Amino acid sequence: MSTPSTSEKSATIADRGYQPYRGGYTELSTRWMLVCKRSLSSALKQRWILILMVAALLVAAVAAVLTYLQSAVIPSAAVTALKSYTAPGIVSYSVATSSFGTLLLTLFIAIYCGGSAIAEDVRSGAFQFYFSRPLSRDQYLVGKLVPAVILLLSVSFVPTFLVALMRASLAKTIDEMTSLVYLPIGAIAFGVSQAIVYGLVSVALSSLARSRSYAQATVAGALFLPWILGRVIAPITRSYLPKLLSLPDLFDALAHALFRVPSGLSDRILPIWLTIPTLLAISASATVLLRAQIAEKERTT
Amino acid sequence: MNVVNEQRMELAFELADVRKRYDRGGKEALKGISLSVPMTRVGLLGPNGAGKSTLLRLMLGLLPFEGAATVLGYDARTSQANIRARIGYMPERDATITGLSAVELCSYAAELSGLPHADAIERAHSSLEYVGLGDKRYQVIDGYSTGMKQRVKLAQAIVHDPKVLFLDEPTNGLDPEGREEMLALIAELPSRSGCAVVLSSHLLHDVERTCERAILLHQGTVIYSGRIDELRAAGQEDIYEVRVKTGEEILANLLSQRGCHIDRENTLLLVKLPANASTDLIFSCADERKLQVRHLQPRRLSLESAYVRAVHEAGGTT
Repeated sequence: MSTPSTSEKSATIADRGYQPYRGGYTELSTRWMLVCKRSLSSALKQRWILILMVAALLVAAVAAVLTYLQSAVIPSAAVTALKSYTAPGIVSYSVATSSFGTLLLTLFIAIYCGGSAIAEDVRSGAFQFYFSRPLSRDQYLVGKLVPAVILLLSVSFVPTFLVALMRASLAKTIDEMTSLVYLPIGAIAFGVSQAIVYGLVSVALSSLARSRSYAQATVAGALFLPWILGRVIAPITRSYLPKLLSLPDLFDALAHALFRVPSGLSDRILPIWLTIPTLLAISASATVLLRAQIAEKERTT
Repeated sequence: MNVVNEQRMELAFELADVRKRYDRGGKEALKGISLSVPMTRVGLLGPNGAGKSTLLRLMLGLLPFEGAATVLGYDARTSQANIRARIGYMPERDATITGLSAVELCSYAAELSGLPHADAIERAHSSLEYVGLGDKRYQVIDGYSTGMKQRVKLAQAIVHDPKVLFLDEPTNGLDPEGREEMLALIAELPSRSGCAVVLSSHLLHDVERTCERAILLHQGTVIYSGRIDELRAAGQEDIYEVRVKTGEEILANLLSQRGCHIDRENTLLLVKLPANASTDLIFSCADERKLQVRHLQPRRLSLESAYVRAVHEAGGTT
């Protein structure tokens, strides 16, 4: 056995506890992704969000079966004759907006995920935690918004897009396939805009409340109330204007435009020239509100 | 890092005529504060509402203000990211994230401060071990006691090895034992990591126990900034505490005859020497009457008395 060296003999047990840090640092510009990752992981721990996502898969499966039946089993000529509308229009609209079920799922995800995005941080005092670190308000805001948008996309867009792709791939002729090319593209435009607007509105409203349940109630009220009122008042006034502040009706109008649905299919659809500026105005207002609220919270919490 | 910053690195922070008013036309929380504070352990003392938390939040760039403030050489108004990367902040109120365990919160804090993932996890464990939460680190914080939450707040503040640590009322809600443990941790930190500590408290004992320097804030103004021993000695020049084994009455009379002014605190004599006299006078008087001097030291006020005196000199009431 070799004799231990002098240094080995005199070595002491080192304290490996809290010591100065000697390692490197990550880029400042990537910090929003940490907030995003954390928010997404905490959202996915919520039971209701998981249930809604599973429900979205079921709706997508039903839509896929219906699409298959419409395109592969029932002759398109029969559909055309029956409805007096162009077959791709009807099919694509029903696929892209993916039924009432998907709409409800989208609204509920906006309420559960977007609604709790910021309110919970206000309640728990996490603002002081975040803003005593090198993280800007915009990075925080993006980090909170992106998870809401991702979850909304996963519920409203991903199944719809996959079904749209399937429908396009089931085309029997080149002409039919050509006529359906816009379908996935329209699904992307529709799904992304829907996720961003719903995400912005729900996260902005979340910043107004001081607890998760208040925030969710606020978001639910802001989404459902104009929708219900629009449905009730529009037939009485015989005008589309009562639907102007209802996000579901605005997106219904957008879907009609994107998927070339004949105007006679639904009553009092908002015109596209009014729909797009209204959606932009709602998004801009939500962004302004969100930035102002975060600046205020940073100062006061 | 530029030359200016390197030159100012030995200062923890520097304030020049800093003013803060919360509401337009309302009361000023800070009234033109100017300070230069070196990298050491500094206590920010003052009653509730004196402006301590406002000062800390302002230096973190969380509040707009008038005047100029630099922290570690960085402008508090324009270089917030640089400051926050080098500062550890333990807020007074709860500042946690619901549903996270202590180790998750601390590693998240480290990553937000710029540490890579693996380093962040390692640092989270060592910080929690340091604050004494080693065996509780995997529990969700929501179920922690007040004392444990205070420890987690300290751990998340030190996890990224800050150059300056801002502690806002760190012993709030702690029992006496927990309070002493927390103060011991804080006092030991600078020797571990070389960081400066700025401890804001309304508890004089906390500051006296952990800090070398003190900043006394009163109604938004600084009434003292400097070493604590100098604060306690101020106004006590040429006053000595003298204790003899027996016969303090005899010594007091003799010293009075030699021109000394004598006050008494029980058996302790407070001797104010006449001009140009030294402590030799006390020893010679004791020797003359064969009295045994057991204790002789320059008079030092308690921090509490020094604080009260500083407030009165500033024209305020405590």
